[in-house]
Amino acid sequence: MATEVSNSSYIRKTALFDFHVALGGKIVEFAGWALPLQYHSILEEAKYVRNGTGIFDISHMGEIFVRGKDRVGFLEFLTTNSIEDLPEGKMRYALCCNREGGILDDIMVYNLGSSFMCVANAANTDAIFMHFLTQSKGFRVDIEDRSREIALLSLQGKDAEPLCARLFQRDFSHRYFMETEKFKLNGADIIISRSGYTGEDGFEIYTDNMTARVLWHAITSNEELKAMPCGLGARDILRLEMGYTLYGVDINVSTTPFEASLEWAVDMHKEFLGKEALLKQEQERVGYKKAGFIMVDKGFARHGYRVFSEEGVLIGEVRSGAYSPNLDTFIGTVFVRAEELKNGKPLYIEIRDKKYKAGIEAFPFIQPKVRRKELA
Amino acid sequence: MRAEDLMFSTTHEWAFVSGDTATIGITDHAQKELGDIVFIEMPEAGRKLTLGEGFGTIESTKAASQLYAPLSGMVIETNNAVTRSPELVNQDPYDKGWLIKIKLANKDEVAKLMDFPQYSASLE
Repeated sequence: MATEVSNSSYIRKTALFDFHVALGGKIVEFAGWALPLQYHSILEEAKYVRNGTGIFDISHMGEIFVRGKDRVGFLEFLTTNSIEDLPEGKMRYALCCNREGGILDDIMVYNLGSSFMCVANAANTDAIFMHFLTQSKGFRVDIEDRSREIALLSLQGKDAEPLCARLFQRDFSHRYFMETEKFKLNGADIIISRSGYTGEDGFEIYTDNMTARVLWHAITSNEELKAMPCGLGARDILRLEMGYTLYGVDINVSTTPFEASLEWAVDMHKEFLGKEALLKQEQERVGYKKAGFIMVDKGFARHGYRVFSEEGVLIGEVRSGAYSPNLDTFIGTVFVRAEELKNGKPLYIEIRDKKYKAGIEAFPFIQPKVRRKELA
Repeated sequence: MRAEDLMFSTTHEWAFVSGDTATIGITDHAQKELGDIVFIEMPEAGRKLTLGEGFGTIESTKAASQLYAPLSGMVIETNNAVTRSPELVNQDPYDKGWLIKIKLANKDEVAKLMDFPQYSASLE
């Protein structure tokens, strides 16, 4: 979780660190990186992304490239989702599991043609890179961790497309959600995808550190199309409003995809590391599952708070919890006994020795505005 | 109220003493440290507080913080505006963001509090 930055020399900084400081960003430590939690107000930033356009520096994420003849088969084996039918120019959400079916990380896999780019969480980048290296025996693949040289900006909101069009002098109107493009800008390599972690229309821009600085400056000083710098605090609220998973909070290495309610990201028709364990779990019952909740009684349910059934039985715990300024209510995720999610009864969350009523609700809590291709 | 007219505790609450009653809130320093305030748990009217006793919780996006009574007394009023709009405490901590009013039990306790210059100095 985010903490105040100490003077540890182990803290890493993104290429845009001085910009965040100059903007008055409140710098905290997250997964070994110094990043802005907020610039002015977490709540204002989270509201602004859904009513305007925000920009996030998420350069702490990891980018692992997989090249070579066997790259498709390799990633097909190491991830739960189908990679074989992921066409060039598209990206997909996938899980990397261990042999026990526990999730090592949730990643985005980009098919860039001669290579795949796997985007991992900052805290798991080294582990995923090592995992890929260890598992590469017998596969003709080349694995490269290019995280240090790649910066990542996320532009999310209603003006994301016109801003990108103006910035890159390119037309993105035919680029749909989860599609990617690569091109050069004044000699610099850019990978862009119409994607994001907010549920708004948006673009994620991968480039070298120097170019990222130029782009950030251009985007944040554009007079006609405004993009407001937003921090980690707002980012967490936005993803939670959509029900997107946060590794380390909602799930961890002992959570299986079924427990994480991520069945949709698992293709049980193919062979992959962890499948045997998941087959077993499919046959027996899944004991615990992640679900979304909205508070009925007004109270702030936080990570680790205990969850009880209507009968007063302890059935699980809160994983994510936040105040949603876009819904004006308290929301979150719980990890509870699976059968408690089927009876339609409310949950009771213990906040400082008192029980507060909450209702299980299906995600997303906000209507997504991502730009999907119209299905004919 | 202005900060200059208030008395301060070491736990960043302020008190405005007027006759037998005191209005209590948290300081600008406290609201800055907390960040966006999203929820405030207030005591009920009639509750008796002792100096230093926890009288409620103030929750921000980051964490829940205890509120400590800077003076002893009985709660006579809580600020409904702040219960409805907790962000008032961020916006105007010394005036519109007041939390509770109490009937003082012991006026001698006021002398134990810091004045504004002393409190400001303590923050350095």
